[in-house]
Amino acid sequence: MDNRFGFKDLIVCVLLIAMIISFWLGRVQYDRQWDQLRAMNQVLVEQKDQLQQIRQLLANGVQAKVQQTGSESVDENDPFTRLREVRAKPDFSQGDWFVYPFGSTVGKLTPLVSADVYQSVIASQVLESLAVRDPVTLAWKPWIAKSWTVSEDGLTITFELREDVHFSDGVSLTAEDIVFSYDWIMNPKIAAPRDRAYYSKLATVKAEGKYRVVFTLKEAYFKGFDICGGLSVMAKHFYNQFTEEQFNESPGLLFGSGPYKLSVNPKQWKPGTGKVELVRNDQYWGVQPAMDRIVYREITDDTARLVSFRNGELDRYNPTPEQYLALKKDPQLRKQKQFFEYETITGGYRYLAWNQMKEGVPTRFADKRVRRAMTLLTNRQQMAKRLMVGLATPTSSPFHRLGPQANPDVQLWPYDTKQAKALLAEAGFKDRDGDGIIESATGEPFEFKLIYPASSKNYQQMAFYLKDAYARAGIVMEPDPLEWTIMLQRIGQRKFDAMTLGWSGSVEGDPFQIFHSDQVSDGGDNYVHYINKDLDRLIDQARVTMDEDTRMKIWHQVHSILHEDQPYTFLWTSRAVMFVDKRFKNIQRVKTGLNGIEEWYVPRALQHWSE
Amino acid sequence: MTKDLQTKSDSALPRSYAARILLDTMGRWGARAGLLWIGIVAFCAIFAPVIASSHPILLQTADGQWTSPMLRHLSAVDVILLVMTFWTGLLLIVRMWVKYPWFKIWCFSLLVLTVLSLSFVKPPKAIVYSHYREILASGDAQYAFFAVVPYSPTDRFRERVEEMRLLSPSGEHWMGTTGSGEDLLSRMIHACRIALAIGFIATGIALVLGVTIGGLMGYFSGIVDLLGMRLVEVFSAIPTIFLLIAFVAFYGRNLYLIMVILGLTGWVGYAVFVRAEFLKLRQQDFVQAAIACGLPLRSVLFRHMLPNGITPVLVSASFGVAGAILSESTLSFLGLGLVEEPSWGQMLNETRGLGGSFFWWMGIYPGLAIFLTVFAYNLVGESLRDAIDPHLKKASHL
Repeated sequence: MDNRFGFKDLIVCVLLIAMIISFWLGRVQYDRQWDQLRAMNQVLVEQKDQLQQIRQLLANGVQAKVQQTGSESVDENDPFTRLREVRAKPDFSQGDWFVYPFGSTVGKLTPLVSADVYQSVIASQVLESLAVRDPVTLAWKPWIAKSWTVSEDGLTITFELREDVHFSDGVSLTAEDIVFSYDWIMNPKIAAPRDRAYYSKLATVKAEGKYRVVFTLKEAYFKGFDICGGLSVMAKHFYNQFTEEQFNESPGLLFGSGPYKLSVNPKQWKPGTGKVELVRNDQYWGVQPAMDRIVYREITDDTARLVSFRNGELDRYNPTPEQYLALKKDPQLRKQKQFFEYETITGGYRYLAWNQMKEGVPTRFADKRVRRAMTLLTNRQQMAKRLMVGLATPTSSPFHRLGPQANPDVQLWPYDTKQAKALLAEAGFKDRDGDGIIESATGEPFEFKLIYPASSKNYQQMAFYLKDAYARAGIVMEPDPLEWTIMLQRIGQRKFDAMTLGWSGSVEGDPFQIFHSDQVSDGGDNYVHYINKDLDRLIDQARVTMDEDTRMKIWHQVHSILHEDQPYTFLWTSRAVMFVDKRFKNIQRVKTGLNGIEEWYVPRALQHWSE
Repeated sequence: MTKDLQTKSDSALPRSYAARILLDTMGRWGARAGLLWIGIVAFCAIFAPVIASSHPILLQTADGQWTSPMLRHLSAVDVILLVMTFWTGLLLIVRMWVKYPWFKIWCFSLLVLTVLSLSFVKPPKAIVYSHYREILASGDAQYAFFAVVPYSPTDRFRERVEEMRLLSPSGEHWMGTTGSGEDLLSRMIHACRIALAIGFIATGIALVLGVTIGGLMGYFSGIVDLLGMRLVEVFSAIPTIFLLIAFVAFYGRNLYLIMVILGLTGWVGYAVFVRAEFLKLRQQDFVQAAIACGLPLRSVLFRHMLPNGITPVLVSASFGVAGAILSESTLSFLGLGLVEEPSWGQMLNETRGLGGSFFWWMGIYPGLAIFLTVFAYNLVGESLRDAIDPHLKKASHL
């Protein structure tokens, strides 16, 4: 039979396809409607909660209180004076987003259990503390607390809380929440060893009434107030609904009283979407910041990040030194973007760490002479000039040379191959079989691997520099780039010979965390297994010395010991360079770098992003 | 009598068939061009340390002594490759006059040489390339005779690194230099080795696996075939590149690991081919005869059936080699390849400068090398397929 495809069949086919397409389009439309409906529903639920709270407040008769807080706004203790000044500017306007690039992916947002530097950047917008450092004077100024008193011996600090602070769901913040935050950190089931070690200085945290908290320290500590005032307040009613295990496992439990909140329900947040979005907390208790949204985009590739920034998809960019060199001369970029270059005490430093104990066996780096020889072989001046294109200054200790902690008498170890070889020979490393590599007395060749994060080309170039430099002394170094998470894991297990990374700084650094022998075990940060009892004693002594001048003297001694021992080869501190899109106004240089995003704004005409 | 006939046909037929195919393939210009390029790449791969090295081939020290730093810095693999190339040539030349089991001797000498050089060749590992330039300048060496390209692939000119970085092609550096100050031409030459090795070893592993599994599936059919095909389906669902990326992240950058993974995931195509061929062949008289003679399975499968079913697999193998080279280039391009050793993909990655600039010489040369190599393998595969397929052959002769 002749079975041909005729005109009728064609029409039937076309009709069928049209039907399928219209059905599909209908479905898409329905989906969209459903999404919108859900969003509306959520807003309704939130508003219902708010209404209920307002009703409750009204029932309690807070009329008088409102007037009180109104008069309080002229108080000089008002934490929002800077922000109010910004809002008074003629071209100030609410709105627009700030898109912030991350060079790595963020695995966890949950506070305490995440050791990620990126997490802390995000958390700083969501969580708040009792007091904050004033960006200009660096003095502590009240935030959630409206005032505090410190006892004579410095061991008891009493905070009076503001009464108008509430979390982003409207539940008010009380002394209970602060006690809970402390208890939660000290709960051994919570995977927060680092914070626990830090807060172990506290003896008790007690609530006296609804708006008063008393912190008691076990012993005097120069950072005593920093510990108490800097405690991030976690909401008891929110975190209490999880068991410790759930808390440790959940990726996105970030919830607080800050000016921003996660754009999704914290319980549903999942990593790996390429970005983290914060939306403005419309119920914020304080003065609202200008930006509607802060978007953190994860772009691991240096070049891709730069291309996105050029295209205006990102609002700030930290160039790598190489890029800085190229971009500085780029007239187009200079026209479109603002450029900042500054050095701060809190900028941190980069280092090479020599592991002294690997899998229970002391390594060759356990010998102080070997470590010093490695430092002598590292041409820091040249690397700072070439690799860091002059942005870096070699350093001899973890203390920033601009701060009072650094010992001005300590001279940087020079670049001296001869002296290094002599030291190595003294430590028993000589070329015994004429193959150009130095060997230990047992004939073991001096070979090791240097681990560094794989995503950065700058670290790779540095590894090549070091390899070529060490080859001159007959040392074989193999560069071993690792994925960030794997690298953290290896550091945690102490399975490496040498590594390079950077530590961030603080206004007054406490070397206890990194160099005290207490921090060797239990996943502490002394992962090079550096033990020096004299240093321990000095650190312990400095920590309980409240007098600043005496303490600085001790820090100077600590500096000298670290310089002698070289547990790390301290490489350099560097100037930060940053490009920010031109549309952002009121970016200022402050002591700790730039002022916070909350003080920036975009005039209405220049606004770029919206819902 | 049957046995006599069997052996005769066994030895005479496939060889003449293979020879015919070979001649036919070589008669096509595509195959010739392809093989010429592969030959050039192979030459560069084998003689890389002689063509491009910062170590002088001959060096006369101040006291008049002659040394050869280049020879002293040859690695075990270099020694195996160089010696085996000359040894193979010698064996083949002698074979023109005297008939002898040259292949067995070749295999045996390869084994001996591998063991010997792996245990005795220990080149210095701490290398300071600028050493030679320094002693020549200071007069500690009188005379040095360098290779054609007097730069090693990892020679980063530490003594004057700033001026050596990212130079465009010139008389001194024919293909320019990279971001670390290495000579691009030298890296290109040394990268041939990785390109060839990854192609052949990965495909080799895949071939062995594919032929064995496919052969068993085709020969036994039934339940073995059913299970085998499910295995094939499982393996063909594995995304190779993602698997490679994951493995590199967890187990470090190891070329051999990459080869093995490419081999373990790439056998599927060959298995399906061989299975189809064997399903066809198993009913044929000569196979039935071999079985009737009581020959062991190994012999039936690999001596009698395989030579008759291997040719289509060889075609897809030549495409497989090209695919493996591309996979490695992709991986290196993503920055997940080897750290220091040169690879075309990794050089291509450096084309995009960090400041957003474009360094054309690092795009053109490695890009061209990858393209030409993949193209060459495809040409050879294409010609081989044309030569095997009688229908196509007729068409092409028209």
